[in-house]
Amino acid sequence: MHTRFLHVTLLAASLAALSGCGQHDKTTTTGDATPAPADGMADSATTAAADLAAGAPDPHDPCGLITQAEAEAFLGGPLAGPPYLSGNPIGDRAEVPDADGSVCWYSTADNRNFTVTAEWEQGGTISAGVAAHADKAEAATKGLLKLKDGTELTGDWDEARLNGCCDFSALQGDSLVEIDFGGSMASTEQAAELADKALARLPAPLSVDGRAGVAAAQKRLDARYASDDPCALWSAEDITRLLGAPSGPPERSGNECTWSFRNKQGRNAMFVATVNPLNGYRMFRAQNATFAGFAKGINAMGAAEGVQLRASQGVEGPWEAAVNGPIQFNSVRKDASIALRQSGMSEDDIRALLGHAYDRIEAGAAR
Amino acid sequence: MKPIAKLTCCLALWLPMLAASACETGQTSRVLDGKARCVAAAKPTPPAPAVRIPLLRGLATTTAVSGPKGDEEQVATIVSADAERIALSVDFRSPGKVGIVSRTRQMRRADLASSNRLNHVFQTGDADSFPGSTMSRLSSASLAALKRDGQIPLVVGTVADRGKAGQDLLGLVPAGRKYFRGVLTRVPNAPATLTVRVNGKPAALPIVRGKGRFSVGADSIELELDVLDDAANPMVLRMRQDRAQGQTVRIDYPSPKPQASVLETALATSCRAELNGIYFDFGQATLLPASKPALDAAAQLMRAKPGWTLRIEGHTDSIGNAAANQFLSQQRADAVRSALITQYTLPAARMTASGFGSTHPVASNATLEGRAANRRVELARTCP
Repeated sequence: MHTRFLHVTLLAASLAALSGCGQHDKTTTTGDATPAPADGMADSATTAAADLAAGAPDPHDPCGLITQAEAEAFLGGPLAGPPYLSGNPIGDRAEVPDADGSVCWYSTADNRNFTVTAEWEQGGTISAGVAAHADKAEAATKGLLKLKDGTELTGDWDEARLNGCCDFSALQGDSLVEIDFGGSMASTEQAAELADKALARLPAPLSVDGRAGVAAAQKRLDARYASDDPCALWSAEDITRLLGAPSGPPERSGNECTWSFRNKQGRNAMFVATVNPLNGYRMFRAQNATFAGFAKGINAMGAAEGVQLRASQGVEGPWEAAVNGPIQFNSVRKDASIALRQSGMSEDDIRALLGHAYDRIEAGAAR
Repeated sequence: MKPIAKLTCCLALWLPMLAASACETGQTSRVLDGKARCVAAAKPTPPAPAVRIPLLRGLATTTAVSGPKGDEEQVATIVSADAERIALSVDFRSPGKVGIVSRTRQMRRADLASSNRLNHVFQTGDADSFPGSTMSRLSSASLAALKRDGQIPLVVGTVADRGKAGQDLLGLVPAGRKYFRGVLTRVPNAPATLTVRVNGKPAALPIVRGKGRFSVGADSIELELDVLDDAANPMVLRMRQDRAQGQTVRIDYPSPKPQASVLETALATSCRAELNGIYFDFGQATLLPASKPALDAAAQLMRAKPGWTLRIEGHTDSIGNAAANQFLSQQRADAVRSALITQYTLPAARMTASGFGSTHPVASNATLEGRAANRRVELARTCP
């Protein structure tokens, strides 16, 4: 049932996601999976029942590689429901329940999450495809598993790499396991340990059916913000009140919205907001990693001229976390993320604008 | 054979041996003119000193593969070595392009000591470091266990169809590396040495031969490895994967005596010296970066001996068309001369270049190692 072409496009999807294409596709249906218990993972009896209802169990279900206890330890809290299949760790189909998906999604009630993907065969070819893209896109790091203290990660895997900020992939023999931990607070070392556990279970996965968790996950998703239009977060009146009179209607491109306005000092100003109402923790981390990589390159080139790019961490405001860099302002709150590229805006303007947007997202979710 | 004839035959064999017990100390029995006689024993030959290939910066290893258009070579050079790790740089030909592309692989000393995972291919997009594995060499612990126990579990990172039609044994693998698992078993009665040209001279390097079938999923490969019997550097000197085979034919490393000094001595005494460590692209006259230490040495010599004029000679093996070989050898001699003039600003008038093709072999052209010896650059001094 899984789409085997997933990983070949992983890096391309990741690059697209870094530029902000993380839209929520509400049209995806949940398939014919049997509804799972409202909370907690299915026990073996209900899993078996779900297997019967959903058809023969899939021996290559990625949800059978991690136990509930391991998942909860990794996320630091109880799961909101059983693990479920989804389309992708990032991008349009991320987090969206999909009985035909190839990614197993684990999420807590506060939407901290991680995903597990596995290829039982042809993992070497898939890994090489991702690495070949990374060879061009990440020439500086090339997936090196070097930790901050200079040591290198090792495990039971035969080779491993870190793709982008937070996709840890481990190859053993010709089987590949990927742990995308960008939506969690976990470290690369923890992801590596989890990958080792998943690799060990490849020959005999646990009896967990990822399809069984789809309906419950959809129910949880339905309670969250529904619009995929980033411009719907602000009306012209909102912009006038918060920043100044708009110069025209907003322009939408995917999950980006551009507003131009005349600020309260009478100067022309504008902002481009990239909005991810879902999977925001993951996107926030990816955006920050993109900036860090960019800054590293610029700083290396500009060292002689004294050019240095730096970001301000821990900026106070109506968000859980934010990073103010010279390229854009990244922020996240309750798994929604908003990144701003702007001109002529003060930090107070940004606080007002994003506070309003996050309130709208949460109000929409509470409907 | 009749019983009496059998007895005679056996006595003829045994009598001299029985006679040996009658010889005095310092004598031994020999059959001379059909009779056993006591003769002075030859002095026992002291065992040859163990050949060590030091794992140090500058160690350059040339692997050759016999191909339809001639022997292809690949040069791997240790570009750094410290207490924590070593870094290996390998020159690959750019597919479909002139010139080479270099890839680096770092190996941790900890893995060189104890890993049982042997990586044997470079793949596009590889990271510089594969912690937990070695590259083109066993770990010291694996070699010791192979010698002690006769077999070792081993994980081998390679591609299933390496060296088969359409696959270049020495090339950069585009994709498809898998990790095959199996047991490497020591081959009894295998040759004890493999001849490799070490710093320009043939050396019989001690080896341990292991063989085994390795598999992953439905794929399996047969692997045979000749490993240098040196716990400090158990490098794979010959590798056969199914029908494809690569062999180390040349090893150059910085010896305690600088290469310029070695050249000077040889040129002063015999007016001729091989310039070890000059590497070219396959079938081309393009000098590879690994040639730099040898060029440095030649330039240093020329500066130290301003009165000397040298002829740079190019030589090839005998594979292929004689005229083409002569042309190639001339181009290669020209390339070395040109590098010394342009990169080291040495006077052009002090050097000439000549190509001799395959007309001056120094070894048999019937073997990989012999052909490798014949592909060379020599310096000849104009002696009075």
